[in-house]
Amino acid sequence: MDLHNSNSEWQQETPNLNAIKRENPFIAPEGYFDHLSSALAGMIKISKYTSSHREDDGFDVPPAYFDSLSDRIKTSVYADCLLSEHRSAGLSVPDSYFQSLTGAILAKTQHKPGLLKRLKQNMPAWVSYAAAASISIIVATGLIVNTHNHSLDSKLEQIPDEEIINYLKVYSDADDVPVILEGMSDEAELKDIYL
Amino acid sequence: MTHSEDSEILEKFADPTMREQAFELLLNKYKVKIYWHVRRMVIDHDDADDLVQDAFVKVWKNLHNFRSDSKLYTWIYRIATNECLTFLNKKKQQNNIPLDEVVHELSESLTDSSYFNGNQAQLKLQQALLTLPEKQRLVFNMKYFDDLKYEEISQILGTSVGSLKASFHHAVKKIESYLTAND
Repeated sequence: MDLHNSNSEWQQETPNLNAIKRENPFIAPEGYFDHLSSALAGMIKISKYTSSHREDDGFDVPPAYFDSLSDRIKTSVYADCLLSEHRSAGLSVPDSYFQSLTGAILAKTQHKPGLLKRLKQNMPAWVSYAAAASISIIVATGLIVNTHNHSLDSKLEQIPDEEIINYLKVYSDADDVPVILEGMSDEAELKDIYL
Repeated sequence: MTHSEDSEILEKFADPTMREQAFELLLNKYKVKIYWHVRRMVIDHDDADDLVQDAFVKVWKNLHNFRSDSKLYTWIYRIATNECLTFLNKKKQQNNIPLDEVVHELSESLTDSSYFNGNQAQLKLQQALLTLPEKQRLVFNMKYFDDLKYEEISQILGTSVGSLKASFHHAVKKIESYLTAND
């Protein structure tokens, strides 16, 4: 079979194929081609609205927008990477550190009694006993001093003996003698008053 | 029915007010030829109907870019052929089935189809065609049924005339062998 010759050349060498009637064996539904044009017209109308073509969708972009778009995206990505590196400055934190940080801070700010309790727990027992004893001694001393300062004896002790003797000489009478005798243990003192 | 010249269709399409009228002329001229071209490749009428509509929508969208360095009908054939090849490849990939089973499936739809009006010999020829690689089947169909010239098929498929002649030669030999074996 000479491929470069006319179409009929191959027919002589293919008797089986040549015996078959050379016609289209397929059929289309009745009236199909009459409806095909209107179906296509409908499809094309729909495609006008669904088309992403710039002229059809009503959107527009500034002149030469797409020419510089790639460069602007690259610059933006590079700037973002650079900023991230600058922020971290080569330091790193444990995984999920920042997620738990807020909770940890809030927990610390909202539970102040816990702080006092921990200090108390850390203090040795003898310190609290010593503190209690010191406070007791101070209070007791203060009470004693205060009581001492305000008693009749303490006030009398502050008055010189000569003045007391002079006072008794001038103002005492016979009825005061028994009381004076009870307070005087020394005979010499009695002589000083009445003799 | 007389059809408009391609040059007239293109001239009208260039005028925005005449665009739809021009496209109607184009449809009237090519819809039947393109339908049969597609139908012979995908066998099933409904698949052919979908693909013909998709092909002509693409023609509508791209006709303003058409340059007269090729003939209008070879350009439309090319679009329709690409739709067919894409459809058949998708069918293989989606079903993840080997080529033999695709051929078997197409062969079954051929015999089950109520839109097949051929005799036993014509049915056997179609079954023989389904055993061919898609490119050989395309070349055979365009040469045998559409009676296109090799130069025209070359423009449609983007293949050299020599390669097309070899494809047609191999297709004819295989078909003859199939018909002899299944006589």
